[in-house]
Amino acid sequence: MTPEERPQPGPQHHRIPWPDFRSLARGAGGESSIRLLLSGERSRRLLMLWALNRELRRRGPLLGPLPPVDKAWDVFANIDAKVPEAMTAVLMSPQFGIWLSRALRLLRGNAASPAPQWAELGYVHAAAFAAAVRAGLDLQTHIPVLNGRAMVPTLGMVNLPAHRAWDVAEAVTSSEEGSSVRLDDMVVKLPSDPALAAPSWWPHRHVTVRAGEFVLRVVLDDLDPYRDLADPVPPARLSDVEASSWSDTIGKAWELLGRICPESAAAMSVGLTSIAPLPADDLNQNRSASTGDGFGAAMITPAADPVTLAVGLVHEFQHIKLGGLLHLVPILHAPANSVLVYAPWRDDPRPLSGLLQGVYAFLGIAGFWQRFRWDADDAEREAAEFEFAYARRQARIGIRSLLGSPFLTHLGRKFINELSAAVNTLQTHRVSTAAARAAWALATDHESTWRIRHIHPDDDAVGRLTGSLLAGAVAATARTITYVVASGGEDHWYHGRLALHRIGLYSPHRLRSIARGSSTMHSGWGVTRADLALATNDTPRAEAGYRAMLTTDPGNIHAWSGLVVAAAANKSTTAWRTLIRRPELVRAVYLKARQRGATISPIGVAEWLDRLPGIRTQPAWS
Amino acid sequence: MEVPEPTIETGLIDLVDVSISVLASYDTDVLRPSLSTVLAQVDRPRKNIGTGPPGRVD
Repeated sequence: MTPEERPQPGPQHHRIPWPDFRSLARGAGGESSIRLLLSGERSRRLLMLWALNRELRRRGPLLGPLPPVDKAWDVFANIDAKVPEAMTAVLMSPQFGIWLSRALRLLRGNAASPAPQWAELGYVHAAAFAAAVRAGLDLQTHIPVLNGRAMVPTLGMVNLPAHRAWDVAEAVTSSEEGSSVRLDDMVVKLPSDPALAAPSWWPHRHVTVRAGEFVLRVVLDDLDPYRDLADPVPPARLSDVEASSWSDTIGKAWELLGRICPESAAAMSVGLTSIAPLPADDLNQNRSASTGDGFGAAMITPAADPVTLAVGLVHEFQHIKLGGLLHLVPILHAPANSVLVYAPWRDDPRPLSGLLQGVYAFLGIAGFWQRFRWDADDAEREAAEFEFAYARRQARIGIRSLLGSPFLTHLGRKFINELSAAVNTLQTHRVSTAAARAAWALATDHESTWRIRHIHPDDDAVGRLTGSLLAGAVAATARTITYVVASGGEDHWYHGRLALHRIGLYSPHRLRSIARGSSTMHSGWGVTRADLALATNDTPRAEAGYRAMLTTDPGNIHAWSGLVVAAAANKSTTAWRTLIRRPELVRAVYLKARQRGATISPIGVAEWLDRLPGIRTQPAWS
Repeated sequence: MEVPEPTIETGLIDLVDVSISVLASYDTDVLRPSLSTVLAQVDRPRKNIGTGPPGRVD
């Protein structure tokens, strides 16, 4: 057998050493683990680029007035051979990943664009031009212009006349003439250092901050059309003052992370490469986002303070890590996407895959607050205690559905066991009584409300139970009550109690003032007197208030969940556990009994159900 | 004593040391299994959106 005849070895696949897998599964993952994820992302991007090239060549003139895709491919291959770091900078940028994913979805009919396809797909030529500028290699090509803006990925944006919504500009770079972009009679010259501003040239702003040995280098991306979750967005150029404020807050947040979460800082210094500012909303809520398509990018609203930004970065980096791992190994079988469950941070039912992301994120968030509470000053400590107690409780509630899921893969089972161990470790830390109580109350409140809204017990079974109740009998049937989980119940979900608890922790004097009636809350929170009593720990008064509300408005979900929390806090009934575990069933039987003209209290129904031996509820599909 | 777990072999082909010019010559059959998985992931993008306080979202 000659060497040529010997069977060639099969392709090598990415491998994950067990210590890295376990570390990532526990919510951590150091520098080496992040490099491992990055190497997977590189292979993935190359595969996607290969697929895009093949598809564009196969389909012919999809690039319209732009050069054929072969030209960009040849540029990439040439630069990769001669100046590989220039190609890597473009290939591995999160925005290139987001664009690649969208381009493939467009080609596969799984996305739509208001622009002609060539205008979006032509980003491939803009990327080739950017790589050539970075590499210092000569190139003459054409790139798309959207509303007078031509993106040069990873470098900046050219401002041109906007005669048409979509246009084509000539882009040239040469060692002798430098780099320029021309549309009609206007020529924009890029500065020799593209990081510098120039007429009609917006350079990407880079932020480099240090915390001891840890250095974070990120693009503050307000330009790239593919800096958002998927669809292209217009530039939202920050003023110099705004950019400076971002830089300052990132620096302070990074200093905090480097001091209290050095392992996270080490990982982020390798894997976090882009921060895209999101516009603030009317309520000044903190919002953040990320996508598996753009490994390394976080989108985030301007933070009121460095602590808020730090926890936002921790949150999104958890998603980034898990997204990278899920690109390498499946944790859940595909049907998990269609199973809806409770997620303690969401008002709507979530698929198991979303729950997994949330638990992973909240493990990181809880870990941050766990450490921050020892770093906080006296004024912040109690609030940090609460944030820790609440986040770890949410993670603990969330992991329940994952541990019991039949949709875990073999590796997924190992992953969830490790994740669960990490969640359990968080529960061993002591917190203040006030923080623990507030976390319990809010978590119980949220889950009760969610169950009442989204779990619908089988109506026939509820009818039979109600009949037995009214006959004074112990039910002979319907010990197992099936239910369905459904979205809906979209009427406004009041978060007034959550807001009150947070006000009490962050600003106790304000809560006292609201309770006295000397200051008010916005009516949009829907806060009642019973809520105020609950937030100020006058739980007997709160319970009485909710009972009174249900007398006149028996279906009031807000009053039902308030009653669950107050009655459980008071232990005013032996059936408080039934109220917590099955508030939707108690409410359904109560409402049915009222329909049939019975006079009974919600607590009376709960106590009757509590006396039924062996009653259980289960989803209809199990 | 805890038995060490083996290294995990993923389904993703390792192209880290493959240049783009060499990639062009790859047999489609070699890339197809990994590409099929990647395209399935692309068709079902994962977006994470969070808000807070009072509620966080994922």
